[in-house]
Amino acid sequence: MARIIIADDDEFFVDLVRAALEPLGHAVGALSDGDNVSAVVNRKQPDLLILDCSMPGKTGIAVLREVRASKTYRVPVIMITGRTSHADEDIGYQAGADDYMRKPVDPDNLVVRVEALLPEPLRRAG
Amino acid sequence: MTNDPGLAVAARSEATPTYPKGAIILALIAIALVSFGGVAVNLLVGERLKIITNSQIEVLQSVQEISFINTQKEEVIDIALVDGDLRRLEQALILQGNLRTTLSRLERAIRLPENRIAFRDAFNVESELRAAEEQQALLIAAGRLQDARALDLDPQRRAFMHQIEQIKQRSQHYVAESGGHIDFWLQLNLMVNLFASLLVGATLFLMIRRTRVWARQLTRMEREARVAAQAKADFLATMSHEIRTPLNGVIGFADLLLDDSELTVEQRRQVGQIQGAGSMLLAVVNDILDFSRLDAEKLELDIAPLAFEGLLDDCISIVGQMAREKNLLMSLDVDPALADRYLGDADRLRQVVLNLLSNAIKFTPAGGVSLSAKVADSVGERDRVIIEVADTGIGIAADRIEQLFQPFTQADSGISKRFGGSGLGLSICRRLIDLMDGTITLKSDPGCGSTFTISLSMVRCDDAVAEQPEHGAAEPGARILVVEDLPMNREIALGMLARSGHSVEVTDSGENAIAMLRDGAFELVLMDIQMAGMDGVETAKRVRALPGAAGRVPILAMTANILPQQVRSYLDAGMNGHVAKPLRQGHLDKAIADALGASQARAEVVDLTQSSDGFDEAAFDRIAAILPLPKLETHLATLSALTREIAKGQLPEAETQAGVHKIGSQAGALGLFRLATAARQLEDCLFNSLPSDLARARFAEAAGDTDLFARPRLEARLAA
Repeated sequence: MARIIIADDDEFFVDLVRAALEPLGHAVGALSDGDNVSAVVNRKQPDLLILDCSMPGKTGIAVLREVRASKTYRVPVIMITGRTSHADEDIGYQAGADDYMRKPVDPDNLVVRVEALLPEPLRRAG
Repeated sequence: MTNDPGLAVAARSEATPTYPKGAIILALIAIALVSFGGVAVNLLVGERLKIITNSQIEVLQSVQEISFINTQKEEVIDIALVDGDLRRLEQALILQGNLRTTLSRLERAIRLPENRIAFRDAFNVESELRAAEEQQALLIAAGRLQDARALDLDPQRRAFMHQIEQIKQRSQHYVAESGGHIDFWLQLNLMVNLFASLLVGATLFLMIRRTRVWARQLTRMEREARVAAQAKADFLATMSHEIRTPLNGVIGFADLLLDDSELTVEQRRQVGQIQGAGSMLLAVVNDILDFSRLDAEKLELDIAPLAFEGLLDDCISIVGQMAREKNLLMSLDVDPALADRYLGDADRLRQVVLNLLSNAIKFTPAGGVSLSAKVADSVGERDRVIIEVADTGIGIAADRIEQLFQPFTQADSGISKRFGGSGLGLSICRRLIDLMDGTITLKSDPGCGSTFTISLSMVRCDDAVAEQPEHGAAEPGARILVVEDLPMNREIALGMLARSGHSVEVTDSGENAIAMLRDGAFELVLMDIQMAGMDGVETAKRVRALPGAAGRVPILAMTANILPQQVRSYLDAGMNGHVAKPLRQGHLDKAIADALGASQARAEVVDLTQSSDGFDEAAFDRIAAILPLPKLETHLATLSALTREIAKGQLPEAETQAGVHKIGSQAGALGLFRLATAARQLEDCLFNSLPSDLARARFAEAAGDTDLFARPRLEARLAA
């Protein structure tokens, strides 16, 4: 019911996200490098963005800053990180991240965190 | 009904805004001044300027011409005087004619009366001059050259030219004077325009200031409306809870009493009335709650596979008693072309059909009510399903049909007095069907009955796996803990659970519940939410933190707070489901059976998964359950190949670092903990440029884990 974009070069993780979210009726689109994420996001205006911190091209934080530069549209963003220290998360939250998840991501947990950021009508029913 | 209560309130509470009268008058004056004053002045000034300019040009040309002709003529006459040449004299007389013509043109060019006098003087002088010249010509013609020369004409000639010169000067003076006039008009024009601009500016200022005031008012009213809407939602939630709690007492005790065999027939009838009245009140409360949730767009459908046949059967049997009491025939016709299962919200669909059926029975004094479902057409995996509820009742006039679907309306106000009801039923039906992307229509003739037709486009659901597990009646004898601080509710729950054969313990606080759960083995907890002290949500969270089996006991919220966001918060706190208050025996049994069944199923899964060294099979299974297996196979192969390559040390440092990063997260997700840990340690060493020999050795040790642990597990699944 929601349109979600995931930007990650890890195909396994992308498949996992699709497998976790698509059965709930969400449409998941994937991008594998950071360079054109913000352009795509501003054009498609998805309901949620899942952003990996380390990708080829621009890093997740750089993409996040670009996405947050838009004055008219604010997409909820979940940052995905493999190796994290709290300092990294602080930078991310200051740049406008809504949530942080650390790989390996538990699919059930992902569903809960994703739905928490979606506006109520877009959540799975019930 | 508008979707945004804020705007509706704003629109109602403020009269249509208007600009101040002053501003409008100013604007009109400004427009009048600019259009009439400005244009008139411009035309006037322009016309005068044209006249003056043309006149001046003509005067100057004429004066110049006269000077020229006069000089030429003097020369010709001088030569004629010296030579006594008559032909020259004739030439001089022609020039004289030219001079006259020019003089009369000069007269026409002169528009000022004073100049006309000067011109007449000039004309007189010219006549004298001409007379003298003609005399001279006669003398020459008579051969009296001596006399002709003696006749000195210079003073007359000078006087004539003096007069002409004066005309020129006067004309210039006139132009200067008129210029002054024009200057005045131009300045007036400028002043008028300036004044008009000021008026326009003032008007704009007033209008903008007023607009800003409106904008501020609108913002404030919108904010107030939002607050009011939130307050309304909160109020509804509270009222729903406050009404349901005493209703729980009424309906629950009536239910329990009806089971009591010692009641006399009269008492049993009276208790039946109490239960009936309580159920009706509950229906009204539910209608109001549904309506406000639909109005606030907060109602969500719970989409799951549903079977039409069973659903419609249920509906008929629920209203059967009502129909029998009125001696009405009931019929059900289900099209065999209907698929076994469709995706939809069974509860909401049942609510709509039940509402239509009970309406039909209510408004049908004799005859019957029929319910039918059929497939109208199919496109791809979708069927258009038509559900019809037809009766032989009093019907309704065509012009009132649309009104019937509006909230708070019944076909005539007498109806609500005769038949009762909230008047919201059909409006709720239409909104629910709207929510399902369907349509509901009514055809009726007064006196000949009514037919409600629901048309839904539904997705067939042939997948037997998607079928929800049906748990029959609860197996009796489960040990259940009831946590509830109101004695009345405790007693009702106890009574109903005992009736279903469960062994029940009760407690009145969250703290006691936690202590009891820690000690004793319960199979299920029924948890009240609003309790003095520790509330149900907090208690559930603490129970989940308990070690061992006690922390995994299924918990059902038992509450009158059943708004979706409230239910969600219970699930977030770790509870497994909810039972709505007022408690009804059937609902309670089903919820308990579901919760116990699900927990058994989970227990079986847990038994299957014993964690072996470095591999969490449960974690792997969770992934395998949601990822398509061929995809999982590909990922395992990729992971295995990448791991081996890195273990052999064949890749350059940068690629190794990116590779172990990927392995760390993938292996972790797949439950390959030894491999994941080794990958992360190696990544850390490489990232921080630390000696990596030990980490590499560990990584090499774990490199085969994918094939060793995950692969066989996947193959077992593929085989199954």
